[in-house]
Amino acid sequence: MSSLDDLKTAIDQAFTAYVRHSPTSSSITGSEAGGKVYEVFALGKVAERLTCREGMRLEFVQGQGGGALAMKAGGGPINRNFPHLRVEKNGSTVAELWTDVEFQTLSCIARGNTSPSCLSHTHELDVVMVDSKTKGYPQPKQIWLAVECKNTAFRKEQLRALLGIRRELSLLQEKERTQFDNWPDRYVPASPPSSLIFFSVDPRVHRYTEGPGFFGVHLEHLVP
Amino acid sequence: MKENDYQELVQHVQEWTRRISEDLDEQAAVSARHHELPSRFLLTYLETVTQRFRLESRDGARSALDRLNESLSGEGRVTDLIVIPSEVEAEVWDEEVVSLSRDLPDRSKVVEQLQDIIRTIRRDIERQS
Repeated sequence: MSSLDDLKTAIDQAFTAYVRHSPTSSSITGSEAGGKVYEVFALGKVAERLTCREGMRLEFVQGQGGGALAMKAGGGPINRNFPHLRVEKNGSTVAELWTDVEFQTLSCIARGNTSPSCLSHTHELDVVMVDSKTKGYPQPKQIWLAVECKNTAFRKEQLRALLGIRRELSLLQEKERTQFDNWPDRYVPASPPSSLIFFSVDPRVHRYTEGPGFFGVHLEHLVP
Repeated sequence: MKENDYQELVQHVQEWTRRISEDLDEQAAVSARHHELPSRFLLTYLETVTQRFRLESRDGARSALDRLNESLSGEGRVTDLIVIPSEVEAEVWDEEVVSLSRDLPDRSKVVEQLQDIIRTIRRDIERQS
C-alpha cells in the first residue's frame, strides 16, 4: 500500500507534468479546447443514436479544409465551404448536421424581418440538425434537433439560457409530431416541433430535469 | 491510510487545481461534493480532474474523432479537428485556423499517472471496507 507521502509525490509529479505540457497554440486556451472536444464527443453520441435508434445513415461532407471537422469559436450562419454531416433515411437525403451555427429567432421572424438585423435575432447552437440544403441562418421551422454542450460545472443560468433557446425556437403547444420515429422524441410540446438536448459533464443536471421536461427539453449527463 | 490522511490529500490536490484553474477546481469539487468521506471525495475529485485533462489533450481529441467516425457511413472520414477563431471571417480558411487534434499538448502520460493514482486509492478504499 502507498503511504501518504508516496501518494503526495505521485500527485506532485502528475500535476507538474500537466503544467509543463502547456498548449502549443496561443489562439485557444486549454479549457476552450476541452469545450470544443466535448462538443465533438456529443456530436459522436448524437450520430450514434441517430444511426442505431433512427436507422439513419450519416456521411461526412468535406469542406474547404479537406477531412477536417471545423468548430467555430464565434458561431455564424451555415457556410457551405465548411464541413458537415449529411443525413440519409431510406436512401434519401433528409437533413444535415452542422456545428456552431446561429439560428434565426422566432421573435425576429414574428417582427417581420426577412433576415437578422439585431444581435438579439440569432442565437448559437453547438450542434444543429436542419432540413437538407438549408442556407444562412436556419429558421425554427427548418430545425429538427438543437444541442447545447457544457464541459463545465452546471450553473443555473445555463438552464435559464436553455429555456430562452426553447422560447426562441418554438411556442408551447399541444404535442406535435417531430421528424423522428424514436429518438430523441416522437412528439414534443412545441411548435415548430424541434427537439432540444443539453449535454453536461456535471451529474447535477439530473436534479434540474422536471421544469425543462415540461417544454420538451432534455438534460443529460454525458461523460466521455 | 486513514480518513484524515485522505483529508490531507484532498487539500493537496485542491491546491494544485486552484493553481491551474479555478473553473476546473469548481467543476471537480461539484462532482465530488455529495461524498462524505474524504477518501471517496478524493476519488471523485481526481476522476473529474483526469477526465477534464483528457478532454484537453491530443488524445481526447483523437478519441472524440474516432468515436464520431464509427457512426459514419460512406468513404469520408474526419481526419482532423480544427477551431476557427471568432475574429476570423466565416469565409476565410487560412493559417489562423487552430488544429486541435494536432496542436493540443500530448498529455496522455499525465492522464496515465493520474489514473494510476486513482487505482491505488480505489484499492486502498476497497481493502478497508
